[in-house]
Amino acid sequence: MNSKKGVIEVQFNWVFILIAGVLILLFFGSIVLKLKSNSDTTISNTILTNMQTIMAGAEVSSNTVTPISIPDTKIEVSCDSISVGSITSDITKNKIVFAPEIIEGRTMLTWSLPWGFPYHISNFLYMTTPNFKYIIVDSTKGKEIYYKLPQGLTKQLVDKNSLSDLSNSGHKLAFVFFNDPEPDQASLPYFLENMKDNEVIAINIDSGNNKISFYQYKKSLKNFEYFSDAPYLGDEMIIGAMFSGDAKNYICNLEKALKKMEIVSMVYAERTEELQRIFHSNPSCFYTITPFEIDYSLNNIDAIIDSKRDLEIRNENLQKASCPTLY
Amino acid sequence: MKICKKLHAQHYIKMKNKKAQIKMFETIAVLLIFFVLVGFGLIFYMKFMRTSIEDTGEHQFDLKAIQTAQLVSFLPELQCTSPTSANIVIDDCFDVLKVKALANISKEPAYERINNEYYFDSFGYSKIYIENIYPYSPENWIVYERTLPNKKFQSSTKVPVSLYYPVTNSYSFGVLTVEVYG
Repeated sequence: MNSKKGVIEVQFNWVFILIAGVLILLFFGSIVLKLKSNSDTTISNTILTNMQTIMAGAEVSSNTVTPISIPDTKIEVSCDSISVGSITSDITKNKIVFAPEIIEGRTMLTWSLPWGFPYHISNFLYMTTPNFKYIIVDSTKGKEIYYKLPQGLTKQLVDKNSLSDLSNSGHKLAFVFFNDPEPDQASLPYFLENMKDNEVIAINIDSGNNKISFYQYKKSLKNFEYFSDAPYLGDEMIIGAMFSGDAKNYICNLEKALKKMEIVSMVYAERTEELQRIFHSNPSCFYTITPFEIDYSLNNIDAIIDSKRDLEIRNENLQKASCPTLY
Repeated sequence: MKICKKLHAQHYIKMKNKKAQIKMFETIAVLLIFFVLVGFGLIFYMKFMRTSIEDTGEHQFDLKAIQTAQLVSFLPELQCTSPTSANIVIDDCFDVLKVKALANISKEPAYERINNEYYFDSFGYSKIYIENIYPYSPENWIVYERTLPNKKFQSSTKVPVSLYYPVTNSYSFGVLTVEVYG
């Protein structure tokens, strides 16, 4: 009887220790997990805060290339938000950011260019990584774009006949064609077949029609497949299309740029009305708000281009007549 | 003799039971004290974290205030530009006609949608105004205003700017004030 009780007591002790041990382990385990998730959130928040600061800085100081060391995390960039892990931060309506959908790696390159049409409207911010290689097909416009791109960027100017001689450098590739040839008519290097479809994109610039066409490489076709097209206003937008590589993202940024253009034009129209009131008795200083009063939408790109030309001529005439200029 | 042995055994079992009970209470007491200490630790940690979060909030607000001031200083709607090139802007210089135009636009109810949708997205709850300082004139223009009724924080940043008058082709000295509420 005595030894039986002893056995029960000993067993009970072990069960008690086991339950208590499991509870203690669970308690500390949950604390560790909670701390880990808190720490991840803090890191994501810090990255996003820094990104916002970088974007604010780059937006106001144009023509500056800044290489930024980033933690080895995936940064997802869309037209109106930027996410790290589960944390998302909005990109405000006045910030126009052209970037690939996913930024990975240890270094991020940020660069900004002023955009005016014809007056200064905004600074475009471009983000990419050295993992992306921009292959520009040699042409007059191609050279112009190539030399506009900053030094820190992985870029190559290639003759249209030497495209098939390109070798694999381990980069994701963005081809820029200038209608001669079009991406789906070019002879492409064989190593593209060993790359993932989303690692190779192409854009085609049709300068005559101010149109950019977006293409995606398809292994199954061993060629580029046409995706969609969109208009552009200035070289800064061609560079934007190169950096985003995605029609949806590009068009969203283009719409943001047009909205900004509408607001800035509104200020210029109001300013011109004031000049009209001041100089109404001076026939050599002729002011009109007509060129500003247009529809700033994607469907009206031709009218926007015409208005730009009109404004440039009017501004030049006012300058020649020693009158205050429109912009 | 037998009875004595039996009594002794019973007494021994009772003693052992009591000892086991005491041991168990001891263990429970140790566990209780342990969890109470852990609880205290957690309470202190939470308090520390709360202070740290409040500090971060203030830091974020300061950062936002500086970003807003920076954004306004380089706003294309206000900046002086070169008539020869679209992309040459003159830093820390505001075109007075543009300032007046933006101030008028921000007042007009027809442009409320732009103020609400576009500028609020960039400037949030803040007041942005420009004053002419030298040569003195009582001119000042509010280019954006959206106050927050129950504000916890307020930051005021003043940026010296030159004001360009295109009609007379002259400059004066002004101050841009950006008040941000949080």
